[in-house]
Amino acid sequence: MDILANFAQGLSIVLQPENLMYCFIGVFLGTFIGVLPGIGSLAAIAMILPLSFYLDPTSALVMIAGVYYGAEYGGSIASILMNIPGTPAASITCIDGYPLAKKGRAGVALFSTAMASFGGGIIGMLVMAALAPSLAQLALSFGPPDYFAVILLGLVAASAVSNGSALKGIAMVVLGLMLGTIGIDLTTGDQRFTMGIPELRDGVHIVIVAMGLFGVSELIASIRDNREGSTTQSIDYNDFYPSKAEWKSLLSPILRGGSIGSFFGALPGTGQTIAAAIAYAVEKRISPQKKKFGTGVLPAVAVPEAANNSATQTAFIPTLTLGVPGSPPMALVIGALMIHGITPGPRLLTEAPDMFWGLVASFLIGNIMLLILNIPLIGIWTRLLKIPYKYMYPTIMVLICMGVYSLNNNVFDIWLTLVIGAIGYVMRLYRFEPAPLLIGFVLGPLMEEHLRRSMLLARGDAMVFLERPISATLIAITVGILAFTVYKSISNYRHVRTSKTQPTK
Amino acid sequence: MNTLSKLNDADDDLALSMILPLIERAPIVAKRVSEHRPFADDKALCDAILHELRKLNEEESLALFRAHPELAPNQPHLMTEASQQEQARHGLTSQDSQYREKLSSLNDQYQEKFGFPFIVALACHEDMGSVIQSFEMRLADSREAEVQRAIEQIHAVSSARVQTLSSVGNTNAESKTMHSVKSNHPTSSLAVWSGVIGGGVLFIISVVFVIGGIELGLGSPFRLGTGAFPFITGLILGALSLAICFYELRGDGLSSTPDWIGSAAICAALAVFALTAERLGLVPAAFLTVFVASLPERNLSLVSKTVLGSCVGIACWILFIELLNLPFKPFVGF
Repeated sequence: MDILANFAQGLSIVLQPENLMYCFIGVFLGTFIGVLPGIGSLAAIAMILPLSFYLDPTSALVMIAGVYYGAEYGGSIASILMNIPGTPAASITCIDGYPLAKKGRAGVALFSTAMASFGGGIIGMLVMAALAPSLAQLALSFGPPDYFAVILLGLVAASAVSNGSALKGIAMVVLGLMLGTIGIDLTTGDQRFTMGIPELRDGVHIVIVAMGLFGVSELIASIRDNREGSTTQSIDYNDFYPSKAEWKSLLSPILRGGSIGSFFGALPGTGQTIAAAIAYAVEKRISPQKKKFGTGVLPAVAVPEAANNSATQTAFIPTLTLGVPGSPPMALVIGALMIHGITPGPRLLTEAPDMFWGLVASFLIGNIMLLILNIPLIGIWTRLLKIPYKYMYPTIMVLICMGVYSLNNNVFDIWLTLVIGAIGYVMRLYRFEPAPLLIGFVLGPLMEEHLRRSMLLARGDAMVFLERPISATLIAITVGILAFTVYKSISNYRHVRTSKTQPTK
Repeated sequence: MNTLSKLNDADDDLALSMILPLIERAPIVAKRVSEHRPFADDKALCDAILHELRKLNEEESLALFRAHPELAPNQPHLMTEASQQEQARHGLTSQDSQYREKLSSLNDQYQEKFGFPFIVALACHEDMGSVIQSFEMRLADSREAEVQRAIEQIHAVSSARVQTLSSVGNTNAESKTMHSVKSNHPTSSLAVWSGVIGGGVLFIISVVFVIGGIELGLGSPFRLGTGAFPFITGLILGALSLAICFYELRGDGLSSTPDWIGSAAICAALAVFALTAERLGLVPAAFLTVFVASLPERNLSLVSKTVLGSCVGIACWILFIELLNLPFKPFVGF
């Protein structure tokens, strides 16, 4: 009952005209940016962040969340119509979405993804409302060593599971931690690695890091993708609603996808891409139409979308209750909250219940808005895809500049974005994933603070991390993940070595 | 038929260099084909290739098959330029191609069963679905049939290449063939050593942080100093960067072909905004940023660039200054 009452309270907050408007703006802009091929939800959030600093924290959070799931949804439109995933998670949707569009069933595919997104979003919201309060309760007993261990686990999980080489992923997290130390040390007041540049005294702004690593470098990467161009499949509006049998075949995949997604979304470091991939793989095993997977069947489009969207919602659980982001976009959410002077953690639920439940309720409202935006108004988005990219990207470029410049009204920030953007692009080329770097950057200062406090409390005895049951368990899990990753990458390395000696290439 | 007549008139070396890229990694076959000159038309050239392929004995053909790349190989930059283009048409050179896993398992099964990689003329397939379908069917076939089919497919690949060559036209095609003979990939040294370059840069950064950390003061375990955290993370990164150098010596190559023109335009656009935002004001800065960012778009006329820039500038004025009340000046010194 408690949850219902809280939820009703949250609903009343989100239904205030102002919050309703920001929720709509978030969902709308998110879909807008997500539809643009090659630009993902991270870049979308990074572009919206500067705007959110002018709002009150609850509206800001509601809007950022709207941008996030809006962009995740928008990504599926480009994947179905053009076979270019707008977001990484949407690449799973491409597998069956594009063949469906080529069969002339793009409309039905889009309709199914809209329904699946909605279903998944609602499942994610329910899980969040049910689980978050008890997790926060548990986290109230956490001491500094436990927090240190949670952060460590989050960092290792996020890097080990990232795409590509785990070794590089972990190196990127550590690099992010190091980047986070630039600026004034909050404990001692000394300047670190500022190279005498006064603008670096407050550290590197998170918007600059995110905009450089994602906005600028994704923009560079997307220019050529879009220039090489691909044809957009047109939609037949007469064939937009699934038949009765198809409706039936969608229901249980959505439920399964949503449940799988909500589980993986809440784990640190997995995120929507993995959630969508696993949900697709499971469905491919058990679906009655499993043989047709990959050739364009509706359940195969619905499952990853449902998983994707429900993971998007449950990713907020560890973010808000522990203050540990499970995925890079969540790292940006934490950064945004900190700028508003709010430290996410177990006390958030008791100290700012309006904000938490307002957010939960906004998932319901936002998902309904998504449905409205995407079923009657789907034509707008498909027309957006027809605008030549050569007009879009110079415009986006100006928006990035404006966003960065508005942080401090200082052109130094633009120069810094240029440097980080160029580094980010080269990193991508060399297969160093920028996402773990961002997570490390956000969590670095927190991790250092908890490390210092733990050592102070334990009078310099590092064994404290293994003596407390919670931190010991978390560290054991961390070591387990690390060991598994090392084992896997070494066996991969051997495999590559042996296959190179064969005369196949 | 300009290309063909050039081929007929060329001296032996030039002719060989033009034929080489037509047949995947088969210099001997190319040499023999070049001795069939002059060719009456494209078909005669294709027939000569088929004739020479059929003349190979079992051992020679197997060697030729094994010189072929797999579909969606882990190191796409090692393929010949022609193969890269053919596979790129189906998105197979990208590391995150959706078919990568599927193909990898099929490649392994095929390799194990027949002892040579699966060879297919991608030009004959509309999409990857049909490629995979034929892959699975051929996997079930007998070895003799597959050896025969591999020869046919190599011939089909060559025919498709001959066709592209003559349709691309004269000078362009010739320079392209010449180029691909000289080097497979212009950025290959950058790509091949990606692990070492990346690891090396990280190592330098880690050294800076370790030394910087010591200078800032490490403190004691009880009261960690300002430099302790940079020092510890620096040590970890140092170890990781060495491991990257060691384990990923040759890396997996670049994730995509670098777009230097695009990146230069974007960086220049940022620089222009930084230089002009405070000197000229928001509207001129937005205008110039759009202008510079769209420089590489050759099919965007000067007029449309100007119109686009003006529109974005005015939209920024309305949106950021009038509606959001941000403290920017639309124009400075006008």
